[in-house]
Amino acid sequence: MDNTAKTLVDIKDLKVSFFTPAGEVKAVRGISWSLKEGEALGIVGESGSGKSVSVYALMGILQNPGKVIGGFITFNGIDMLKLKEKQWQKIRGNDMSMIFQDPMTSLNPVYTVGNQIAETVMAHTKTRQREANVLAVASLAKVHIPNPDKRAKQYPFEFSGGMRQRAMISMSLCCEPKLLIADEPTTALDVTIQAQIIDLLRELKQRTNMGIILITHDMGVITDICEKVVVMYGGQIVESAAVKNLYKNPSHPYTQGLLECLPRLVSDEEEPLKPIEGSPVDLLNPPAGCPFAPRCARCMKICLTEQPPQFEIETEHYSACWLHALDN
Amino acid sequence: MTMFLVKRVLSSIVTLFVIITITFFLMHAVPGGPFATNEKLGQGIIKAMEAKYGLDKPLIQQYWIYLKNLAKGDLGMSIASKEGKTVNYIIGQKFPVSARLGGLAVLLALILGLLMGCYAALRHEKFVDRLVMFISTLGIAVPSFIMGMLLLLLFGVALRWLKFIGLNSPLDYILPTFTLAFYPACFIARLIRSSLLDVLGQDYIRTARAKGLPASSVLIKHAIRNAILPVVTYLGPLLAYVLVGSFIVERIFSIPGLGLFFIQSITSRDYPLIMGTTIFLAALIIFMNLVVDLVYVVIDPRIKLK
Amino acid sequence: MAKKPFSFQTDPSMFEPADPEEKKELIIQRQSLSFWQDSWRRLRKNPTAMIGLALIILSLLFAFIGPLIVPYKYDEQIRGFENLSPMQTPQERSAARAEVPKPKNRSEEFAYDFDTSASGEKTAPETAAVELKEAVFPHVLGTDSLGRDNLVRLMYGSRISLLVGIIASVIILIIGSIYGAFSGFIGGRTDNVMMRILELLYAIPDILIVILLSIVLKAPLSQLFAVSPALSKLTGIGPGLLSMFITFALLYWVGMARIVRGQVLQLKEQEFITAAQALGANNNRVIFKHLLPNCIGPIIVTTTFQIPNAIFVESFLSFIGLGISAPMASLGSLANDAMSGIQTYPYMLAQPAIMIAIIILAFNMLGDGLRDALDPRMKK
Repeated sequence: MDNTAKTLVDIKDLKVSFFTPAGEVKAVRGISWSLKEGEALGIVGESGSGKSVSVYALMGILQNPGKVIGGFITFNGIDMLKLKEKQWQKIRGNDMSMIFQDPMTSLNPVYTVGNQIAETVMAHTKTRQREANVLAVASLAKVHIPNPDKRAKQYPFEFSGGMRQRAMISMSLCCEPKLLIADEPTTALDVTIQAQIIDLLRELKQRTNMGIILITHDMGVITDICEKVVVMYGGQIVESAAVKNLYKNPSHPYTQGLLECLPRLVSDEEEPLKPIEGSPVDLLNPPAGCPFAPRCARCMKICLTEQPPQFEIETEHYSACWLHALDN
Repeated sequence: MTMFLVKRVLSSIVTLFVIITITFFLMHAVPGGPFATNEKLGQGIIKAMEAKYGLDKPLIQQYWIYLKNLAKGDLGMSIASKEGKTVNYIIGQKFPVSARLGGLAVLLALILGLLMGCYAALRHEKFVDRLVMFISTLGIAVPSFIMGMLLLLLFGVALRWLKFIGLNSPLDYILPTFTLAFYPACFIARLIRSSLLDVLGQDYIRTARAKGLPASSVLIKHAIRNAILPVVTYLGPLLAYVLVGSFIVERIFSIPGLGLFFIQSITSRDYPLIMGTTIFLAALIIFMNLVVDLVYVVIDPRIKLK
Repeated sequence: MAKKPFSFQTDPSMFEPADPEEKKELIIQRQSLSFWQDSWRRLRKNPTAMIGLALIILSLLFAFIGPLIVPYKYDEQIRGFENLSPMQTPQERSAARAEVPKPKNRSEEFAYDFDTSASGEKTAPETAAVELKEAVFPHVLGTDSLGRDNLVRLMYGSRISLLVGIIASVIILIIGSIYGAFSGFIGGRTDNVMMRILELLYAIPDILIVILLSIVLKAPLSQLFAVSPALSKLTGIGPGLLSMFITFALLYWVGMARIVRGQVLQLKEQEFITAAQALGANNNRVIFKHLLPNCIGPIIVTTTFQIPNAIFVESFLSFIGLGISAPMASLGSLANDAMSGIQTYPYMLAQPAIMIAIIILAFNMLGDGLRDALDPRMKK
């Protein structure tokens, strides 16, 4: 890892809440992480852990009734939370762009794929429709879509799932962004197509110097692309480390559980898969202590009442668990 | 695409044919015939009259003659009118009045409905939204003729601001047009509101925002374009509604249109006129439904493949 | 990332393993409710729906209990009491008349003549009886041109409208759900043919056919009723109403059939239907025991919306002079009668108009609420 590289994204103590009729849902409860240029960060966690919400906040596309209620987001040296909507629009799709989980629904059904890519180009550069169309075709070619000329004139429903996700990627890359956020880009796809998309992302990462944030609940995908990983649970970060350190030395009981969930191809004996018992946190009334405590096999009395701090396990490897207090 | 077209046109023709047949046999199933009520006429005159209008022939033959005339566009003679006018002539005289009123009402309903619905959706769960929902629930629940009567009572009788008989000056159009347009406007408002809310929650709107498009472009190009599709499908029923509504509105406001004439022909038992008008209106509705379906194919590319 | 060294003093006992009991408290238990309890709970929380329900109950009381309280009959014509405004007595009107000597229009003149000449002819006990009733119960909403009490006619009108709405919806419910269930369940070519018929019916502009049917059915039904008065006694409805029910039975079940068919198509792929079939249930049993009960939510919602629709069609037909036959009245025919005197007696038009509006609005409000409460897709 290049230690001299510029910091691209810096998030400090970010808090996001949804103000629903039932009350305030604290989706993200004070998370911090940073990303350097050309670096890839994986965010892992189960549904409702706040991983998507935190990057929506970074993109500034939180839907009502969601609001950032605390913390700082710095992107490319800009304090994002101070920006007006107009200024934010200039950055979105241009300097940072995003691809989504379900390519079936993420493209507008009534416009051609080429039109939707060209629209992005025209929103950020002074190009005419015709030039933008040419750029759109070129951009489809970059993600290895065969017959890009013909494909650009087709509607999303004429594309297969994998092709649509490629089209989404080409749309997010057409303005050459500094940061690409991929929100579970492979979850909705077939396994073979998943591998192709992951290969494409890895190739793009090598070719450009762009930073990548990859959100997934699949630990396997993370190892393929990312250098750093953040594990989220109940709106908080429970463990963060370099990918190889996390695998070598998973420290938080939740991370350990996650890794044990992975089926291993090479195993000594016929061991059954180990699910994590229990159900996710109710973010309407988050627990006073560690969010994972009710499901944790090694839960202690303090875990139910006190929030654990981030303990440093090794360099750049933190884990928020009271068990580490016993190690000291 | 061509298959769809052919199928659609064929099914329209079949529907129209069924309506013609139902109408014909229903009208001829009425016991006594159109002249039976007029007791002043002697038996001989009735026989002569029936012969004149071909009512003495066997039913199937009458049906065949009616179909042949219909194919030529001839809807027959009106029995009740004294000067022996044709049904075609009467429709030609009365329909433009109804059509002008109906056209205005459709226009008003679309403008009012789209504005109210979009505004409500963008201010979801705010005051404006609640107000629009309140008004439109009221507007959907209260039948148009009740609405018309209440408007008439308020502006015509109590306040005496507007005249409420006939269509002589542009001002006279206000009450009947509004009466006719109010229900569909409310319906459209609810339709576009719920479909716009649905569309605004779609993933492709999030994509459009993530692309950094200006809010206006997200709203107009991506959201409203998709949300308007259900409104297009409603245009067919809207037209049928306006036609039927015109019966009542013309009765309430004494407007000399086809609707008022139709109701009068029911009381005077003018069977050829009732039949002719029914078939004419049914054909109009079926034709408009066909047009709406074709428009839908043009604006929603997903249909083309089917 | 902030590294917080573990520096503060804590009770070592805090680091003992926690009891499963203590952990359990943190796991949120949601109350489990049955489908109906859950729906009713959601419906009760919806103020609009509850107002609608209350208005429906009030209308029902007004229409069915009201006539027992008011001492007049719907066809009772009281001479000398024609065209009274609300709460007015003939004496008051005479007094008012004396101040304004010239009557406003012909009909009122006519009524005025009646007022002076006819009342003199009445025998003393008759007049006394009427005056007694009058003293106990004034004509709250006035009287019509034949001296009938408007309030009681409004009650009967509401009764007819509500009856039409409810009976017609039950007819639609039965025909529509059976047709839809069989079509969806049998599937294949049968379904195809049944759906074609349905599409055809759907494409026919219904109100035109309803008008035609009403015209056509009125004469033979009137004859039928004339021949056997027992029929009308037995059913309590006139030829106008019966023809209306027939038209509903013929035309309006299409929407219901479509909805039920759609539901059945979804349901029949599910395992419990296969299980029932595997256990040897025959088709009828599967449809009536397993499929229809599972479509009950959409059926209830559609029926709730069908009632105001039927009421609307009835009042529409009565308003253009078809439908109910005199002296019985529905809200539509009351409005139709009042149209001719709109200048002089606007309140006579306003009364049935407002009543129709209230009833239809109430059913729509309840229907909206029911849809939100019963539709599991709306569940948050």
